[in-house]
Amino acid sequence: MATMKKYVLRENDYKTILDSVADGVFTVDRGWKITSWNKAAEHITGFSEREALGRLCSEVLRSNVCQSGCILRRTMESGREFIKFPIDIITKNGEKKPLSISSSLLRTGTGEVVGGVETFRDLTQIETLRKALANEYTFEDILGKSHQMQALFRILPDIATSDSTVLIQGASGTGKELFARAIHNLSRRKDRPFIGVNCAALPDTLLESELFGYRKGAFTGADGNKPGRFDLADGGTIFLDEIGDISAALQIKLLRVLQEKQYEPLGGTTSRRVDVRVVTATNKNLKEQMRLGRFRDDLYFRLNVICLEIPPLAERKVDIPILIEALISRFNTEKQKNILGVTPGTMRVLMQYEYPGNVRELENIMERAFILCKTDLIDVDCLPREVVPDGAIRRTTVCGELTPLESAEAEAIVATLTQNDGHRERTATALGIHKTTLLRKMKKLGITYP
Amino acid sequence: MCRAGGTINAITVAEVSNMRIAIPVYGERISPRIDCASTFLVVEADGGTMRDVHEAPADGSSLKNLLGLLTREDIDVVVCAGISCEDRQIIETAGVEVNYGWIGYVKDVLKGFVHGRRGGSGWKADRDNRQPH
Repeated sequence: MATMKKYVLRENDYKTILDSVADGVFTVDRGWKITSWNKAAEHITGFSEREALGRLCSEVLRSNVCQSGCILRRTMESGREFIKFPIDIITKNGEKKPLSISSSLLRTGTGEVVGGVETFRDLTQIETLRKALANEYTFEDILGKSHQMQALFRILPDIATSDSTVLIQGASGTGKELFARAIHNLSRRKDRPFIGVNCAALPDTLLESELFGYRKGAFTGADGNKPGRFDLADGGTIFLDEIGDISAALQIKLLRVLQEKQYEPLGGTTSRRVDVRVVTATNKNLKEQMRLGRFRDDLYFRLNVICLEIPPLAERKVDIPILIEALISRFNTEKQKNILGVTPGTMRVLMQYEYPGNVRELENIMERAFILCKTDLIDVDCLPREVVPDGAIRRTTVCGELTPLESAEAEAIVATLTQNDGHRERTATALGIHKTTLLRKMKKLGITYP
Repeated sequence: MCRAGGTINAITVAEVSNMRIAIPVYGERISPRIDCASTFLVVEADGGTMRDVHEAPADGSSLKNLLGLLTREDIDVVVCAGISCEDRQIIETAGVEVNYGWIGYVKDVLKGFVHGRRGGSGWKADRDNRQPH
């Protein structure tokens, strides 16, 4: 009988084992310096083992809790393990990633604590897919760092919890439904249904039966009872999109629901009572519709208890980079690609465009670019023709009162910027100055470009 | 999302004259993330010397708040460690240069920045001072 020789693990084998693990794993000494860093950690954070070893873990992991509530510190201080604690990190290339981390003490064979060990899992794909499947959009999914969006974010939680009727006004493609869903998901009704109806998509008679349902025999072909959307939304939220398109007759019925919380299904003889929060949206100016006699003023005032105005994308261009980043992340997951971003030229073009179709148009532009992009960065040639202006970027302006010398300097900078398609590094090189000096001069001379 | 790292050209001391710099700080070190910082060090670099050094409280997690600080203090460059691409692009769109990827003690970072001792790929400052294993 052949005898099996016992294999004793050597030090190198432990590294091989750690490197074969799909989760990021690192260890620190008692001074928070990283002492080991596996392959998955390299992949998730973008920092190589060589870059990480010897560094303070907070300076490599760069999580949102490093400064305020470091999990590893809590473990080291209390001896308590943490399992699947949610955090986010900023990777080497500036991407924000959601992770779940676990931490425990690192002991020698004799039980002496020599540091800590942390494992982490990238939740980016799971989080993206989970939200898409559950339609579980929160305020965090409404992206925007512009002051207009920040102002909305500040009041939205209070609005969500108020249970009042909300009217959302904004052009097509601004994300009105996303706001409606977010309001629902933050309200006490979040565990009840969210029912959306596009009032412009259905003819009037069909819309009435859709909203309020019908009884058997109400009309030819009504061979059974059918619940309406108000019924289905009972206890939850009903979102009526394009409310400005409903007929005068339906306006009266809707007014009754809002006033009395009850309605009659088509062909029904008794009223039904419902507990539904109504959120409406329109791209029309309802005040103007009311002035023209096309929209009932009593209904308008019922709907307009709280009004949210969603700004068009052209008025909040500062939000474009963050939207592009989110779209790239989403399409990478959906289309199994690994596109890193857009070139500076593409970013400038996208910042210049006026987006008549708003965020939805930007989404379409990026989806098209994803299909055409053959490298890891989306270049201008992947953008639709109507988005790219002839001769590319020419939107440099000079303003303010300048001395003759400053004017000459400004003209030279503008001309060189134009020659270099707004590329600051190349412009600075052409002018024989450093990029920082160029930026400072542009700021001083009032030269701006997208 | 944006390009990883990116080599930054060395700059001379003369080129940073009269430049106002903001650095997110955490104790004596540069804050690992700009959006987690609550204090910024504002420095005016004039040639090889620093003047008008003072601390400015600001909530880095609020970009509006941060942009307000940068405007108020007339900042030319933000020198920081970790920053998300979207934050960086927004700050740059506001006309302020972002020089990211620094780590270590603030005094070393400042010295490194002002004297143009900058490496590529977002790792700068105390590269040579790592603890051996």
